[in-house]
Amino acid sequence: MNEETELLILRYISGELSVDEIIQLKNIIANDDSARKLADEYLQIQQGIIQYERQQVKTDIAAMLATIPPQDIKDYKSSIAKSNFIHKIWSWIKSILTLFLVASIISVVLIYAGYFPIKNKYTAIIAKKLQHIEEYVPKETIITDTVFHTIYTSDPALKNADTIVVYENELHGKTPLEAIKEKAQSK
Amino acid sequence: MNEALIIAKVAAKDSSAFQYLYKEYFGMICHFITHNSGNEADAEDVFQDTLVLFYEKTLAADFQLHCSVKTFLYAICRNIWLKRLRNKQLNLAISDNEPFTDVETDEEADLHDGYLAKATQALAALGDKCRELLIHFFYYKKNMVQIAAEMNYANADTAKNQKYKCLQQLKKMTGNE
Repeated sequence: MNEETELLILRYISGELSVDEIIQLKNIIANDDSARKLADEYLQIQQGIIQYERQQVKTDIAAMLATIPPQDIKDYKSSIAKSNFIHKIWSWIKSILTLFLVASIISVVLIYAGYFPIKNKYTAIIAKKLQHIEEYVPKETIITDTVFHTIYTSDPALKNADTIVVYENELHGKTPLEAIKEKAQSK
Repeated sequence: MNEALIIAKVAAKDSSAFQYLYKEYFGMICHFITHNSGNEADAEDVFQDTLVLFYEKTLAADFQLHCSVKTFLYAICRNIWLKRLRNKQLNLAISDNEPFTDVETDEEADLHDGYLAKATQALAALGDKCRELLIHFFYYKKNMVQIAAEMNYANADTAKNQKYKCLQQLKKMTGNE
């Protein structure tokens, strides 16, 4: 690598190159490893100079500040303290709402998938009671021949959906419908 | 102290301006740092770096502040601290699963990691006049006419040639010639 290239690099780090000269230097660096390395070294030297003086300035400033007693430093109150408080409250509300939403979604999924523990608990109780009925109540004692009749009456004593029960021994030769009507009227 | 005066005094490296800024705003910076994983020593260090950067900004001939000094200082400080936190977290995140040995794997990495410190050390050992010239040019961004006048060179070209010689001398001192 010749002195001309080194001068070009020195002028480059000094910001003295024209656009054409920068392109020329880039071409040299692209094709010459030693030129690239030299440019790199000079750039590091340039940064080293800046760092060196920066450290000196920092030392000078630290010395200027060292003489100030702590009580002279102004008390600080955050200018965004209030909005911080409001922000915190809003964050809590958002967190709670999010929690409810997530819990609701999980509950719905569990119910539909049949994994919801409360549902399982009651299902088990009902299943147990049904089993009890089947095991301990003789089937022949259960009267399955139940007849439902809907009758229409203007009798104010009767209300909509009232249930009237007529036992077999109350029929006395009448049909079940006649017996129901009679009982409804006497109510 | 009004803001234009603060800037002018900071640019002139007047201690009264730095002391004023410290009294006024260190509390704010300290609050920020200590509420963001730092301590008071971190706050002192970051505040000094903040003032150095502020000083460097004021040196630029075209420097104009488009916000208050307080806002500007807070922004610089915040950037510095976030960068440091990021670096800390990166270090903490490293978890070796093999014994770690610090070796350079190639020449280029060695150049980048070690050369800056070497250059800084070499500068300290350089002659006073050379060091002053290079600092005037690269740190304070003075032009060669100003430097020639301040350092009693015959003219700007003489100063420029001297600058090249100083850079070459510095390069030799870093031991990479």
